[in-house]
Amino acid sequence: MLLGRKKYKELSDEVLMTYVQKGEKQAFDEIYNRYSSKLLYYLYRMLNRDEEKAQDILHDLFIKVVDRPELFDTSKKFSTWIYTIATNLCKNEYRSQNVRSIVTKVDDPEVFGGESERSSSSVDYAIFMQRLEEELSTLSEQHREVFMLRFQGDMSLKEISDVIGCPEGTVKSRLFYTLKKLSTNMSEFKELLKN
Amino acid sequence: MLENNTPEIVFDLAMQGRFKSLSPEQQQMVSNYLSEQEFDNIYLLSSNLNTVFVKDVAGIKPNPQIRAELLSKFPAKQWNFDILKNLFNYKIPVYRFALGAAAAYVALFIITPMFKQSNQIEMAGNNQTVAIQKVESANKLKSIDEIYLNGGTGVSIDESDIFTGASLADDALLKKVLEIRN
Repeated sequence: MLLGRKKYKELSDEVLMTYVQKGEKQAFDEIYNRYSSKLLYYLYRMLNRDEEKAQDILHDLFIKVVDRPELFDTSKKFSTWIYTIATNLCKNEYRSQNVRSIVTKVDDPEVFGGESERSSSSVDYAIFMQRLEEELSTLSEQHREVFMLRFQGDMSLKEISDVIGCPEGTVKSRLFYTLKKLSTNMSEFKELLKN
Repeated sequence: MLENNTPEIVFDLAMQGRFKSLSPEQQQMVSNYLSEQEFDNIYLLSSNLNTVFVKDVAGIKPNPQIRAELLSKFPAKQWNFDILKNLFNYKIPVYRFALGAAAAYVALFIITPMFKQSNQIEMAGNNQTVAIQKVESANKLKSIDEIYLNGGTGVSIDESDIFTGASLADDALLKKVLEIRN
């Protein structure tokens, strides 16, 4: 059955994937339009802002969707599935390129609170984003992963726990420590955030 | 004393609102772990991050070639395959095949006698016709003619008749043949 583009826009990700499994190009296009930008951004952040690598992995990720759409269980949530693949591809990339060498562990509570001598002179969005990028690059892979899934992927705690294969309690704990570190190190942006 | 799951509880509370919105018991519990300021900073940051990321996503775009390549790969992989698959895997139910074969068999038995019958009628209409089989060599006129009359046996004709080029259908010749036979 071929549907108009408007119809595809109204369908859920999971229903669209049933059409993709039947070989419908437009259904795949709709899925791609919904997720490509978000996933690229997620990959970009996870790979320490290496845009070229993020584009390559985005390509590999969607090739998997085209080649093996039947691997998706349509009774499950699509976003969880696609982010799980994206996360695994990032982990492979970490292993192959040792990206983690620049990462600092934040599990240890002693890490927090030491670097709060930040300038609060220029409080605007661009600077905030630049600082956020810097802070994210210092997070461990696990902490950055849950942080990005929660705030950029807009996922629930349950979905994140499904993606990373950890209990919800672990997800909450990682998010808490990450937020605590970020809020401490970026406290000069408090006024910006209030607005 | 703080419990092992305190970070999880504080996280849940920080997702709900500012420190002042907490109950006195909750405030007491949080105070053992964080200052009011720290708690509010976590709340502010977390409640703004989704918006911040939505704005930032716009700054980086997927390479258009990725989409083009994926879409071009799609029909070749799926549609052509489906068409071919349907073409070659077209299945006829056994009962239909059996019915078709039976119909062809019956048709063969009806049509074949009809052809035979029409041939017989045609032959009957030409009952008096003399059929000749004449084998000729280009240089030698050693021919063997056979005449069949009303199912009768073959009769030889004089060579002279042949050399004259007379047709066996001629009345005179026919009479001669009948005389010989009688």
